[in-house]
Amino acid sequence: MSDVGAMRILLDVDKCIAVGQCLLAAPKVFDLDDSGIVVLLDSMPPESERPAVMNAITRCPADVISLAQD
Amino acid sequence: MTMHDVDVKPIPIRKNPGRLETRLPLEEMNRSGTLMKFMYPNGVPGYMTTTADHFRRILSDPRFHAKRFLGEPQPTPVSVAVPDMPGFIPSMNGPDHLAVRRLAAGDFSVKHIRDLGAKIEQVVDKYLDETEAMGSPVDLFASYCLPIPSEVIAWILGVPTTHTQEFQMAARYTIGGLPEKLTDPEAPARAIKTLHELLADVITLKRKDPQDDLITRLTKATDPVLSDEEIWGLCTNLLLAGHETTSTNAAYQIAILLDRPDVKAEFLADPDRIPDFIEELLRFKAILTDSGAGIPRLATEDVEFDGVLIEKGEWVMPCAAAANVDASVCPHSPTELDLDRTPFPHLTFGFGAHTCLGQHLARAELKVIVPKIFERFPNLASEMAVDDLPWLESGFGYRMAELPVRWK
Ligand code: HEM
Ligand code: SF4
Repeated sequence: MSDVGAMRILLDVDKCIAVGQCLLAAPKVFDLDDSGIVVLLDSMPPESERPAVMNAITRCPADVISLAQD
Repeated sequence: MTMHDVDVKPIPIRKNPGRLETRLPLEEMNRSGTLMKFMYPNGVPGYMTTTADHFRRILSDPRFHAKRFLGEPQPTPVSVAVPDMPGFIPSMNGPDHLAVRRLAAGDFSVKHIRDLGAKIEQVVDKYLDETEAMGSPVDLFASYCLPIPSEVIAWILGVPTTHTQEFQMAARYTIGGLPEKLTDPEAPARAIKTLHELLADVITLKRKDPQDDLITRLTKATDPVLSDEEIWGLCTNLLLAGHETTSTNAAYQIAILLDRPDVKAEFLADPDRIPDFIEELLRFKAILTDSGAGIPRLATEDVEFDGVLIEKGEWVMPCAAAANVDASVCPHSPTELDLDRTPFPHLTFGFGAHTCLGQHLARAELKVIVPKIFERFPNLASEMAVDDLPWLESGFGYRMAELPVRWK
């Protein structure tokens, strides 16, 4: 099953410390604004992005990124 | 120190290990898998973390506060004289910390640093030329590794070129720098004062004549508004955090490659993989925490951590060097340097809200500084036997006091 959109990303932007690990791990999903703060390019990325997103979650030092539990 | 600390073992720092060996017994620490309480040379005890999991958990836990160099005794292998400065983010916590940190973060974000490549190359080339002009043999630390990071930081801040040299001279004598400062204990305090005066002038200048640089952006900040004193503290913070750390790591990485021709050949064979190789070198040698110094955190309440009761007012010392050789995150011969390793997110730049703000800059500098010296001087060789190199201790770890090399 292709399951497009099964993954929904949540950001707690208030905690973002602008280290950009998310962009390095999953550049199709995350970007940074001019002050270096995370912005979401795709809040419901395809399943193929899951490993990259999981990598971003592990690498984010400030626990900003999570997956919606639904 | 409490009564029950009288039995705490002194921290087992090896004073003069070979160039590649670690100062702390990292494998033994990994094996213990629990927090280890040590007495530091200055008589303050601290719990050292021994695994990657501990490291991440302590540094993500808001009950532990960051407080550095602030007069009050904290565990340290060497004492560091840095005055209390407003705007100094390593000692701020919670929302205030985040707000001030974010004012500088844009200039150090991975996107912004990518645009800095040409500037970094230009600065590195300048010091390659100067090193060559000094002639062989030369102390590569003083001629090359030390001046580059401070010149790049001066440029990011917007210190006018007329003031750059004075800025760099002061930088040399702050926390780290040259061995001379050891013979003159007043030198660091004088250097901080020089920086204070110099930056005060630059801040006034930028308020009158705004430019596209970080100091100008800080003078225009609104959330929060920063006083001149806070801008000075933040800029000094950026210099102190980014100058000696980067030069020491550059010198160390060059020294490792000089020492290991096999590794050097592999390093230089594939320019596209140099960023990955630099990651492995950073993982392998987390100098700051391997020295026993590093990332002190103060318990603001009693905390039960994996069966250990950390009392309010006690210190925890998260150790990246131990975390980086933890087999649960780095499974294959973690204590070996292995450029072929699949890069994994090492913890040399810390974790949590204070994770190194300048890490992408440090990487961008190292990936030019290290290979370029071997391109310019293909016959580069160390003048001294590895184990004869004199060592220097500082608040940011340790390094060889000089790195004498020849290329003829
Ligand atoms: C290889 C070089 C470097 C290493 C190993 C390193 C390491 C670290 C570590 C471990 C921390 C965390 C400290 C803590 O949590 O208390 C830190 C913080 C910091 N670093 Fe770096 N650093 C390096 C280069 C730089 C550079 C080039 C800059 C910028 C010019 C910089 C700026 C900072 C700042 C401002 C902080 C404080 C961040 C905060 O408290 O929020 N560092 N660094
Ligand atoms: S990795 Fe985390 S803290 Fe860093 S920019 Fe991305 S979301 Fe923000």
